Amino acid sequence: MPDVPKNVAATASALSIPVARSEKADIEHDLVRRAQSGEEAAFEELIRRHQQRVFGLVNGILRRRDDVEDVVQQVFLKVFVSLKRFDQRSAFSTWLYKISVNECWDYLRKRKVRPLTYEADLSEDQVSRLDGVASADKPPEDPSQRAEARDLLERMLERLPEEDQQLLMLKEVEGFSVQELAEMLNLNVNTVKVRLFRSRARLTEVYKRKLESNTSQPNTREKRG
Amino acid sequence: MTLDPMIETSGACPDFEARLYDRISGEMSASDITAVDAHLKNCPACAAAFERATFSARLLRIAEPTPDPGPGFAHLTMAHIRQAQRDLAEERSIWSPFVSLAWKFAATAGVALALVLTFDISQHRTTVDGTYLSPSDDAGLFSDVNYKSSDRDDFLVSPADENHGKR
Repeated sequence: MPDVPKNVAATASALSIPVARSEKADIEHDLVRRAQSGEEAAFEELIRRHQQRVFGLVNGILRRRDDVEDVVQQVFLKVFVSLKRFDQRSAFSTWLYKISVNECWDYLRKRKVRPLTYEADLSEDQVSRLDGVASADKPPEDPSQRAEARDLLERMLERLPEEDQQLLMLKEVEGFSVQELAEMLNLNVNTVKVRLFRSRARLTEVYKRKLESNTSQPNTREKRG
Repeated sequence: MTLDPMIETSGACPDFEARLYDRISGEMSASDITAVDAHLKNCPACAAAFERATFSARLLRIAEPTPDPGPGFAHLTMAHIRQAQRDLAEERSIWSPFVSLAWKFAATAGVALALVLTFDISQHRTTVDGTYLSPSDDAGLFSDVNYKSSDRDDFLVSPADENHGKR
């Protein structure tokens, strides 16, 4: 390997990120242009590039896995129909995410459904198991334990307001940036940060209250007994 | 900084919440970190809220991002789009004879209306008060058929002046 001075290598590596981003943007710009002129293969490639994020976005809002696929297909159909009107002044992803969010609201309104709700409260055992997972250094590796922990977390999230749940899922789980969330929800960046901070604090508050009520219940029984 | 007033507070200083979030997510310069940490030392309410928000990461790490639906999804979606386009075209073709008939009716009615209006204008002239009178009406009213009333009042008084109310 040639002896490259460290500062030159660092500069190259620092430069490679914007260059890669620019190339990606150029490719996407070209794909959109080709899809606008009716090339179906280009649109299929756009779907392939964005399908995971749109799935994450729709799942983060609806949290009903059964309906997610239908809604995502509907999103791409709407994008296909109105693609000619997209002027490429904003990024394609920004436009796509806004359509996805609107489609989710429409879906919830038309079907008059609320995002997934759990009627039953957490049992003492379940709270203890969730506490074990939260206290451990790493999340459980066993798939069944992980699935159970996820289910328990879902139930814990259910105690939060709907907007809190959606923001937490989209940012902390699905990995959308604060900037992306602000754009797709038409909010100020600072508002998104404040909401996320409060949602996170509230989630812990719900969890701690559940733990406290869990530990105080045996004492109550003893007193009653 | 404009914030939604409906957001409930976390207990932390409202002006600091966004910065505390940046502190948790690690998107902060070294000087800002020093400033926020100094505030956390002196503000128990912010410190408690910060601790709660930080702890939530231990719970949230349990959740996993939605998996990629796989390479077949794009293909399936394109098939769905093609089908939707075909259905739309079919729906349009069912209604198209009725739509074209409706347009033909509208066009015929438009032409007929234009013809009626043109005929009416050519056969009548407008008097000063806006009513339409034919030339034959003029002859019956006025002794001088060439007389043209100059304004509305003249038009009304002229028969009385010339015939004293008699023919």
